[in-house]
Amino acid sequence: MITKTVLIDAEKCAGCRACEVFCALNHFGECAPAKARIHIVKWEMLGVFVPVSCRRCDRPACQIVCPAGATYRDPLTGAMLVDSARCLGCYACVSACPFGATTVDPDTGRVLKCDLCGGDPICVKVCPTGALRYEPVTQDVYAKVVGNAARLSELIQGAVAASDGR
Amino acid sequence: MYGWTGNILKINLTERKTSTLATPDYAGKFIGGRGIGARLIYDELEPGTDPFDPANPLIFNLGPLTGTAMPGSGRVDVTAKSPLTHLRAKSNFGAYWGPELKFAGFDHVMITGQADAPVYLWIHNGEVEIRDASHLWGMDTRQTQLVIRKELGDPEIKTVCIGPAGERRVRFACLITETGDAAGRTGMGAVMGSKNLKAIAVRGTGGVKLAQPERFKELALQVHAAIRESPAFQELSHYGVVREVKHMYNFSFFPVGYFEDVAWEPVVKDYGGEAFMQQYQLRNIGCFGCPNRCMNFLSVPGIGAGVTSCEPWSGLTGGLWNTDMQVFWEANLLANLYGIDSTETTACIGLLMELHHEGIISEKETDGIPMERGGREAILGTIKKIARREGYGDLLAEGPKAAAAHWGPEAEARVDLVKGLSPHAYEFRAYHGAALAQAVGHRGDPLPLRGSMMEVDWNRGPEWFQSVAKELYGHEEAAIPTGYQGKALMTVISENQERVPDSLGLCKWLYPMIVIQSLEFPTSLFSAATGLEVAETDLLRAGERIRSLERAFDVREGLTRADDALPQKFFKEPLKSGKFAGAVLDETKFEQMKDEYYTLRGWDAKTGIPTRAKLEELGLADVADDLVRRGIAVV
Repeated sequence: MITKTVLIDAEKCAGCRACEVFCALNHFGECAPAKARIHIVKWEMLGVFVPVSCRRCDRPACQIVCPAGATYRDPLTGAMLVDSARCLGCYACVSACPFGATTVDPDTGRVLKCDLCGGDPICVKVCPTGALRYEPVTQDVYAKVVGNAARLSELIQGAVAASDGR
Repeated sequence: MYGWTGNILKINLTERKTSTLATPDYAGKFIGGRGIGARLIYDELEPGTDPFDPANPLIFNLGPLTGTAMPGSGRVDVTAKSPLTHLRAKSNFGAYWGPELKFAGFDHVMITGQADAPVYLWIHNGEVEIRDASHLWGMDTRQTQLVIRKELGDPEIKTVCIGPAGERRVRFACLITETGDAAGRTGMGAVMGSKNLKAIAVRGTGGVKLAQPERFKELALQVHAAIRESPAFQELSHYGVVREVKHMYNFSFFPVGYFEDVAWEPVVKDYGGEAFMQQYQLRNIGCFGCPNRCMNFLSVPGIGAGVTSCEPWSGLTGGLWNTDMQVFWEANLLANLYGIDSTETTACIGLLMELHHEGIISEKETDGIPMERGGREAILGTIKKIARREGYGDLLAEGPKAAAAHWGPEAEARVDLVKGLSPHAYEFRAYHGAALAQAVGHRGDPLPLRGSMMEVDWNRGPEWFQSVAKELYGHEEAAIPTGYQGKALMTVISENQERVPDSLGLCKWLYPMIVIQSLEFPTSLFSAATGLEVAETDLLRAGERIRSLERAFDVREGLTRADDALPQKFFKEPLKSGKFAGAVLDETKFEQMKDEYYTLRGWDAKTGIPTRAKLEELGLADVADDLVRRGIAVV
């Protein structure tokens, strides 16, 4: 099966956070980045910006640890969704996500996770640099995902080393 | 409340007390941002107060659209009484601090008083803490931010701070945030330093609520698309302003040295900015929520990484007869780390170079550093001396006029100032609309405006821009740089326009100065955000009201028509070379433009003071009464 996913290329991100603010606007009708399902981790003084959002893992930790079976995969988009009626609010998924991509709404305490806007992600629409793209996961794309992940790791390590050095 | 948070935070550092005012009491007339800021300082400050008096309020102003999905919603207006001009100060910075403060629950923050020891403010989700900053005192602007983040344990904290220059009250010290974005002009860093306030750290997890979220979203998406389709976006997001700088030299819009020349071959022919940028660029970055990336982020081995944009690209190069881009970069980073305004600093060094060139001063006056044109030590050494207030730098830290006065009347006569501030480095002999806007502008430095940009654009297509000028400003000469007709109306309209984005909390580069040259989007998004249906003319009307209020503030501080002046150089010494060789300002025609400007503004042409009829028409009858009560001749 070929599924589209949001590809993140941190090297292209300029840190504008349009994705964050439009995400919250689209889901909550409010401009509140703290309620966004994507976050830009920023090293402003180094010019390094890393978007973090759901990777839609093959074996999703969030789903595996959910004691109530509230986390499930949308069969159409591949997005990992949370059934709020079943969710206990235990935050096991928040702790388990290896990317920090599952977060909590500061107002309601509800779990937040990218739902791909039902297959038309607004973050991609407003990303001005191409750091976010919504594309089918093909072999080529998979190679990019792996390549980007490797670069991301280097970037973060470099940035952390540089900021510790100050 | 929609758009606005509804809260204006007041902090008195002497008493260590906070209180709040309600934004709705001001928003109807003054919108927010710069507009409400002007009203707050008008009400707060007793005229004649020294800028370093604890009573001088330092006010940070956000607007109803700050922190929203509207592109360009990351700007912050800052005001106080300026230690350089002794008039109302106005400065503006970007990046992420403004939206974060909004998310923490405030539209404006007014700081008065003076802490008895160095402090910083920690504002988070509606709460305010005044914290010890003795360990931060002396730190540069970068270190300060990093230490605060570590100390408060949250990497998402946004900080605006001063560097060593602000602590020492260098009169043109600036505020620095995040990447190095600055509230550069009019000495806001010195005012902050005079309050013993090192930094303001903010964090908020709230949001901006919208009256019509669906409409707002659709419009914001349209704005995004429109910006990304514009040629200006393509240029700015890839190169910033650096390629424009070369055009500006070709158009003789940027002077060289201290307004000494316009066509210095090394910069006109071989301006090195673009090549330097290409070699060392990490990426271009912008502010919160903005697709446009007009700031260059460079990393230069051996010197360091950081951001630059706009003025340093021409000031720290041609402005100082400097073609060594490594020196440009080092100077830019030093100014950022020490926290001094690069524009005023450029003017100070430019003045020294002119005085040295003319033999008025020698290295004896400058601690053994010869102020040769383009000299590396002259540039870098002077920046350090100013920021540390060492030797001749201590004199310059009081402003170029005070320093020159120390070196005698001949030196003093060479100083080019407008209302105490070094004017924007534009060639006013050739660009007469820019000259008028500079002279009558509210802080001695209101530029750039849409009108002055049109004069520049004229070079790219004279006939087209003349026809646009005829339509917009009633006379095709308005677009012709060396003309005099239509310039007053162009200035009035441009000034009113400028106050709209500044008051909504938006970037004026985006609307209407460069990228999208209309206020259509800001108007419709303001309506969707706040639920108040307004027309563009309503916002322009508010812009006019704000302009007259700002004028009334300055009039109260003693400003008269005579202060709306330019240095004599521009009337006496014609341009020797360049595209407009021979151009000079005609004093009579210049004064006629001013007459026309005051009349259009509804200000008394004799005195430059707003008339009672105009103030009442603008809903500012109380301001007219206040002026009269203070013995000011309001007709």
